[in-house]
Amino acid sequence: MIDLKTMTITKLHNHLKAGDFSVKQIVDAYLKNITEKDGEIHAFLEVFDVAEQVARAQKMFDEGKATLLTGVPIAVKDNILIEGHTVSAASKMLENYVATYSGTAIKKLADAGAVFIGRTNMDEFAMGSSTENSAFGPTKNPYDTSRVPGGSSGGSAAAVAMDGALVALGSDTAGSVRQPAAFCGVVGLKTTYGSISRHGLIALGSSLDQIGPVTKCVEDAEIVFSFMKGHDPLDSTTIPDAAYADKQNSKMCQVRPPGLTIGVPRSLVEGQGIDTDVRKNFEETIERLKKLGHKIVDIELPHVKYSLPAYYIMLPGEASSNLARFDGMKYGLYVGGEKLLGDYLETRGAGFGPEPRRRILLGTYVLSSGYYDAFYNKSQEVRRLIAKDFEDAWQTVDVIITPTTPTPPFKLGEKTQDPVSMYLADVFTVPSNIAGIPTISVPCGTVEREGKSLPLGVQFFASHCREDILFKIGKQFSGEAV
Amino acid sequence: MIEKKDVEKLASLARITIPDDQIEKVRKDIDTILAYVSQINEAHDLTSSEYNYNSGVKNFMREDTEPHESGKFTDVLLKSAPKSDKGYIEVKKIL
Repeated sequence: MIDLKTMTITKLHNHLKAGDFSVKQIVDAYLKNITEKDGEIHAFLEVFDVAEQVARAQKMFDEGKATLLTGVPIAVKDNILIEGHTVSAASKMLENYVATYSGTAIKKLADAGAVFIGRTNMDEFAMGSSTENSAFGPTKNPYDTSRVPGGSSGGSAAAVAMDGALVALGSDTAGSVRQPAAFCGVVGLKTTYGSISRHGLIALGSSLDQIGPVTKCVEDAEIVFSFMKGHDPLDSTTIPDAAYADKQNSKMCQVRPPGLTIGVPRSLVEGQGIDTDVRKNFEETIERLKKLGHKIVDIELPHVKYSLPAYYIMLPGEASSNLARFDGMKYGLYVGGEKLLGDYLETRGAGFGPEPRRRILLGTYVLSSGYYDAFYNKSQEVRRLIAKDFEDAWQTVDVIITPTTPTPPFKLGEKTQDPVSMYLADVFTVPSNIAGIPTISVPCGTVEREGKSLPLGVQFFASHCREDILFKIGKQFSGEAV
Repeated sequence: MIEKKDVEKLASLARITIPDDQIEKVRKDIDTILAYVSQINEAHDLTSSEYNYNSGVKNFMREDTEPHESGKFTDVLLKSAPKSDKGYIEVKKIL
């Protein structure tokens, strides 16, 4: 009997290496879980025929060429391209689009022998915090199916939480990996902007997007990251490997022994709209970190409170530009209209759901000549101030912590009528995208709601290229071997 | 305050048809969001040191060389196009 609940990448690897079970047996165990549970959860938009991948992975073991990821079942968010597979971004616009190439991160994982098990549900074009914006119906939270799994990578987080895959890939533009990870009681990692290639990720906000893993434990996130990271000539925003190493080795960035100095941005975490139980849990988390030998200090990040409003200017601006490519001509949906202009109007009117449409219109507004300075330019200035707030903080602290989300998982339908209330679900996660810094969400306890135990997450932020610090403290906090 | 005609103008610029019965909801949502994001105006204007602060980000360019063989990807890409003809994507007459 294979125990998937406590499975990790290292454990799985050792079992497969020892021949305790075959790649087919482990993949079948996950597929069985999907068959049993996904009718209710709806984490997957499609489960792949995996026979070829399984045979290839088994061969790698048999020939002694296996890596840590060989045979690991990975669920992939529906906005990351795998050649030959449909990739729809959970949109009618791309419902029948088949990827003509694989993303760089996918190629790297495939080379390592990973088994892509299926594509996961998400908010349309990664716009949302609940997966309710999917054109193909919402995903439900495995802990309480009347609640959302978070979003936009809600399918990925739910897939891992229900043992439908050992690892899932998501993308994080404002918290879309970390927020659902917190809501589903799993680990979510958003790495330094430029650490993982965005080639083959359907673009939302190109200056903010990063692919990131959702995993059962911090060590697994570290392993998956080690395979995906690296400079890529196909993404000019990736950081050269040497520059990455320099950053980690620079004297200023050496972690201060013995414990870490952890900054708490008090005014941010005590702001309005933060659930009482989340605050209580956060204080308990701080106590746990003190007991582990770390020093806690209060810090000020004076401009970080503007992160979310600044984001909802820059993101729609970038998204409206990125989504301009969907025109019914080159690929994706085509709906004919009167003349050429009619083709555009009808295709885009029919293909985009309400949230992408809203953001395209907003983006068009903030980028228009009359409002550009007041909105878009101002948001870029605020972005500088936020980045500088973090740079200043690293002079005195090694890590910053906040809760991952202001509330526990909310009910399906609770926030769908009011976009701003939905946006506020990302209030703690968006600053690290704006600053481009790495952040990890780790489970930190539960709260009771209507007789159900709901997970919460805590976020650790570090300076650029310092994922190593996040893994160290994340593993220690979670009780994993450091 | 965003008005109905502003939404119609934006929709036309963004090349999106919005059904008449949805325009008011879109107008209201955009108005609410603009009111929310306007709080960034509370942030002070950048000082010269903040403006010049070097975040370490710079542009990367590559040489425009080593093109792939012409036509190598034509077939696979055209298969994705809604309409194509003799190696070209087919669209309606522009003029």
